[in-house]
Amino acid sequence: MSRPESLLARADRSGWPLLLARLALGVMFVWMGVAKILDPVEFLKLMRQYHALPESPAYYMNTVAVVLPWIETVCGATLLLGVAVRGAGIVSAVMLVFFTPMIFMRGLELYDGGGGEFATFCAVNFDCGCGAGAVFVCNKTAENCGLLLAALVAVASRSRRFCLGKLLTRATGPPRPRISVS
Amino acid sequence: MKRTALTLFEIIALLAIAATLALGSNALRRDGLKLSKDYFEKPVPDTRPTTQGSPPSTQGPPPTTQEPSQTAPASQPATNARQADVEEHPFQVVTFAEALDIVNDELYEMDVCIFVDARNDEQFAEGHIPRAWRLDPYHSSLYMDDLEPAARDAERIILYCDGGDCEDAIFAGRELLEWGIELEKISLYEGGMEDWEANGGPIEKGPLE
Repeated sequence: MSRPESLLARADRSGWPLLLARLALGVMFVWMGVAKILDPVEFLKLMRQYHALPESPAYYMNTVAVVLPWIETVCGATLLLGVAVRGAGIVSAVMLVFFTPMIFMRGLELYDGGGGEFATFCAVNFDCGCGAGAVFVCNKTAENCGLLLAALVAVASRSRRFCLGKLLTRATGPPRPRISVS
Repeated sequence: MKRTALTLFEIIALLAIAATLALGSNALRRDGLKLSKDYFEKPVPDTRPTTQGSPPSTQGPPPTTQEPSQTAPASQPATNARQADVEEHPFQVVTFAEALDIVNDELYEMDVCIFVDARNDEQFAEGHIPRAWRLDPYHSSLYMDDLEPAARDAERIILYCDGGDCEDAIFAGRELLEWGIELEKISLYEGGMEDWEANGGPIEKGPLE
């Protein structure tokens, strides 16, 4: 006798949670990645404010400023298409795990150093270099937590419904054996 | 095991595709970044000229030679105070009044003294100091052919960007020094466009012709 399927497993098998996660993550990553690709200088300047990478040699920071937006965009595009979903989910999750605390810490730095410019921590508004212009730090942190959850769904889901990758595998996979009835 | 290997392959493939696209497109772009260039390197401040060393100015009053941290003119609003993380620079500093005198001087149209805008295309098109030249320090090679002869001929070059904590004018000054323009000819309008607009300076709109 087989064990009854859990609610989560049933929801996952329907393919809808993964589709929602892919759409949310894919749209955001493509949008923000393309915004950075279009203005690499602005992204380089904003990245510098975090002091996360050494300024010398310049090669480090310049390369990250050029490559990172493309990683975001490629991950976003593959998630939207439903190709290499687990790999793109892991890369997205790693980026979010790195960037979210950095944005939060930068917000704290601005709040502490603002000399009363911001009434509350959540009123701290700055361009985090995320590709969407100036944002409120609390909103951005919450948004990133939501995206991280979506990335974890993409990593953990076993469903490949609505994924182009599955359709391609079916189309190019080995032919099914014919059952002849004599 | 097979699933882990497939996921690892996906990650490596994604990163490889992204890196190839990024480096390829950056190499082909006219406004791409030069990977080995230090865009944030500042000129050495201890070469600051003394008042006696500054050349005679044909337009307007002589430049001030105060320390940048003490140069906020009376006309400059408090919001234009440079932030602590903006480092020193070796350039002479001009105030709004001095900058305005230069623009209003009848010799200004002869390019004896030129303003150089270090902001990006969009900001420049939205409004700039009349007759200002352009030098975006992140794409300096694009402006070199036009600006270099004018900068060599000019007796005085005044750089500006947004003001506040904007450092792009300092980086543009470094570019001019790299082109061989004498330090004594270069001045910095620290208040920048914010100060210029706040004080009602004349503004020209549209791209450089």
